[in-house]
Amino acid sequence: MTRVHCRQTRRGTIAAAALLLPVTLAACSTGTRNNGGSAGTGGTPGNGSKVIVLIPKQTSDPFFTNAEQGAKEAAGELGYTINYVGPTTADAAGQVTTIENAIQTKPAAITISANDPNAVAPALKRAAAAGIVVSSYNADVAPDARQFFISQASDDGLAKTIVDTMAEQTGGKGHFLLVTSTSTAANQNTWLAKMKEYIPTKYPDMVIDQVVPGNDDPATVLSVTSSYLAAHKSDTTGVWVIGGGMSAAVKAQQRLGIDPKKMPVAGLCIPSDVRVAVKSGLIKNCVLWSPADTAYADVYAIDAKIKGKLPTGSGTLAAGRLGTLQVADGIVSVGNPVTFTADNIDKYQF
Amino acid sequence: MTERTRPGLWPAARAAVAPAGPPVGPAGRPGSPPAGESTGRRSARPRLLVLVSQPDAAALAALLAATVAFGLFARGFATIDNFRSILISVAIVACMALGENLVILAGEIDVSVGSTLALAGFVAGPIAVDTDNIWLTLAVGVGVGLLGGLINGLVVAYTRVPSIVATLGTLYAYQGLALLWSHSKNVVSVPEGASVLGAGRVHGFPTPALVVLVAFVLLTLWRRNTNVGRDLIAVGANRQAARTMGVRIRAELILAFLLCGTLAGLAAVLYLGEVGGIQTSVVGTNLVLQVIAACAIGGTSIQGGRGTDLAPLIGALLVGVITSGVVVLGVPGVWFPCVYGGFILLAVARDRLWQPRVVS
Amino acid sequence: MALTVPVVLRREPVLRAASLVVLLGLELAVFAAMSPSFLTESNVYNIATQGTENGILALGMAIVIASGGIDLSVGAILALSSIMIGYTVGHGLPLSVAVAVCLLTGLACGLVNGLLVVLLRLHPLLVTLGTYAVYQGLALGISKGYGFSGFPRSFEYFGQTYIGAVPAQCVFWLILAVVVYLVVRMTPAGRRLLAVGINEVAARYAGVRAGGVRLAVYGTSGLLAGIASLIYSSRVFSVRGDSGAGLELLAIAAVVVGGATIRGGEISVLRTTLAVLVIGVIPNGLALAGIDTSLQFVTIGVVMVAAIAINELFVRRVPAVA
Repeated sequence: MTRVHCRQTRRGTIAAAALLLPVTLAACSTGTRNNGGSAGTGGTPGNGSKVIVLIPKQTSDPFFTNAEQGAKEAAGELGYTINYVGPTTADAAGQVTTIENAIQTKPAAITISANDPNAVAPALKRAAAAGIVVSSYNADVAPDARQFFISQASDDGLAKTIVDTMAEQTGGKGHFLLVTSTSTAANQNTWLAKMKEYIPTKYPDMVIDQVVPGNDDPATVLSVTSSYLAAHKSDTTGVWVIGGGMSAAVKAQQRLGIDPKKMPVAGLCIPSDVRVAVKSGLIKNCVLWSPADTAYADVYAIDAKIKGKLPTGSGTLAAGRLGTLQVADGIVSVGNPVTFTADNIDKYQF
Repeated sequence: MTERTRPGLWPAARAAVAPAGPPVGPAGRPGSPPAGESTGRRSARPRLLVLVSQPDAAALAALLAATVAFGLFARGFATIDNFRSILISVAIVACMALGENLVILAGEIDVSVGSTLALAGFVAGPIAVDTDNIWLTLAVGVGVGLLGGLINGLVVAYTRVPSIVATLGTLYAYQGLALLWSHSKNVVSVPEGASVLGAGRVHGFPTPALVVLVAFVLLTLWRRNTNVGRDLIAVGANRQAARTMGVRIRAELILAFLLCGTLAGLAAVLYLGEVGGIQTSVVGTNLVLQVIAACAIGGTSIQGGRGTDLAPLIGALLVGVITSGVVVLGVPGVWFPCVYGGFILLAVARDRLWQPRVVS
Repeated sequence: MALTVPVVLRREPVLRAASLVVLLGLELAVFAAMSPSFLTESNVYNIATQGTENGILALGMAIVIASGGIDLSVGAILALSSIMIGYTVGHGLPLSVAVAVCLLTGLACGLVNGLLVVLLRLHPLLVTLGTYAVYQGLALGISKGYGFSGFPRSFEYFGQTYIGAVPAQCVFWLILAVVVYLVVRMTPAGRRLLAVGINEVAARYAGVRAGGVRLAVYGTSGLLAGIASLIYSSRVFSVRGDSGAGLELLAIAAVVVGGATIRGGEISVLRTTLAVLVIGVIPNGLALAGIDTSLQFVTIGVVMVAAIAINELFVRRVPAVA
């Protein structure tokens, strides 16, 4: 028994040594690695590369595949290539890993729509320190971690439009169910807060009775909306959906025998999800913005930044087919949210 | 030993494969094997009562208690509309749980069912959208599920890889395949014809729930009246004894996983009809945990060899009732997972009451 | 499958470790060929830092599996512990207190798991399934869905600094791995752990208090998850209620690819750590080569099954006495 024990101990020592080997190798090599600092510093921006890394919240979300197309369009015009890469689930840790991997390939720029504004900040700062242009679009990060942000619509403007479109369908009063995406999505929480601020000022008779997470999953949206409406059929005036899966809310109504025209569903939507419902009048209108346009502007802004032409204070940016865009304090404003109706929804293919 | 000699051996074999000591019912009395499990002779009890047995009773009681409690305290809970919507939303989990139950009864586990559903959904989805044909969709969906289950079964039966590990590997593999097949595009707007299994109603009763019930009846009949069906539980209860008595272990295992995968494929077709499409975010959900929880809450022992086919249905319904009740009560959404988890723990603790202390 | 037990005194551990090293080497070669930025110093650091949290969780999981159990809640423990750091700092308490709270939360969660398994004799799969949801729910509930990031600069220590030229968290990982190795191989506690995993009845008859061992095992797993959450939160410098999703599966995968049997009774720190690296380089290598993310999953699945199949070749299994 003792002999075996000794043998095992010897093997163990070998094992420990093997483990130490890569670590010692790393320790012996020299090399600096910048850490922290704000995103404004760095070497020559762009690294001479022509690759822009476009990071979505989730690669399979049609919203972001549409953004990829817009980015590719601008990249084609300006001579860049787009590397569309990211986590398969809307996961902050996955984005951090994506950024860190992307840094290794030394692209010209990294642009990201963040699942969490702070989790990705340290990695982005490292990217900037490596001379990579860092920007954000759609969902911003901590301002000192990016060089500029492409804003399609301000949170205020969006919240107000969401409220207004419902108010005009319901006479500005009533009791409402609000279905969000996940409990932790940062922009959802922001919009919710702004809606709650705005409603009492203009529509004091509109009350949000309950907020339920739909987890961006149509099956969940279907199930929670069904449960809620089954219990509150008679005293609900309308349903807001500000996460994914609006068509599932309409479906829930139909299964319960509720006419969606009498109990409007409004909020944020993705055209591919609601196209059929909007065209048949079950949903009057809903709101979003064009992710393709956002990404298109993003690429132009990156190009301007590399060439040193992006204004740091206030100014304008020439953005191809989008015309001249306003820039103020690192925020490039692309425009207003789009309200989709039966007339224009076919123009948006995502 | 051929099939023809088996029926005579069955009663003896059943006694041999019973777990250590006579089964102990909830009242602490040693008694006959739970009525839900076949004894090989025609039982004098009417069929309906035989469907519900001792292990199910506790779960059923919990289900009734929860329903009554929510009905009293949650305004608007106890409506036909709500019960219908509960049935619709649990149908998918219940369908998968029926299959997972078989695997657990056989003493194994299948954690890849969620990915199998996703794969089946993404393969059958575009077909549903393009052809609007429910039969074709059903054939493809079930076919993909069957294949997935078959692979799982073959790996578990023929290699020494434990089922949790093998299905963990296929979880990742099928997930990736589903994402690849979808080309990152969601399936949307499944037309009416192809949705009929998931979205219809038969005399007011939701079709998906009906499909699950039919599957349940078929499974129970199979498990009760065929040798292959009856042997399944032996594989989980005491594999060594079952092997000695001539049960074809490998075949049983492959069959269990195959059925599990098939039911996951069926659930995918229901999902397409119910939700009208499938999103790539489905691969990230904890569907498999809900399915296992449903089986466990319903009374199936996770160690295998004990449980009935009704258990997963009761368990799924119970989870559905809780989820609905919590929404209707107005509990803030952030606390849902807590309620759900607390419930699993309670159910599992209850499970301990009728499970004899397993010493080895 | 005949009832067998793995032979404890195995003659092939070096061979099994070697097969993992060969597999790792193969991966490195393939990925280096696919992308010039793969074998750079900064990418090696990248892989090492990305793998640390998984590595620490895998250590805990290896211990739990060695005792014959399983812990599905480690991802949620990570989330809850990290939320507690945020909560503590957010209420104005000093960082050292927050770190203590984090570790205590991890330990407490693990002990709760242990108590439920031991006192109520519940199956660990179901217990940790339930506690996974409960801890996740607590993390979401306490944070109300919001993240927190107002940490002092000193918090960077755990996940973003260097000791010499090596990332600090890798040093912590190394230290933890060595400690676990020493405890398992050289202390009576380690032998008790393996005894319980191999044959609990025999261990009981030999005087081992299986309940105590299990309690310690789950507590350790929870504590290690707390340490991992410290490093993770420091690395991303923020906390969120939904972090840690899916990490438990990766930890189980690492332990299994490392050759330990899921039924318990064996543990190898070296092989588990190698397995973490084997699994960890895959997403990195594929990402650098520009390959679709969904293919990563398929590759992980295939590599897992292949590695396990190779492992099975080496294990000598003795039929149990019927």
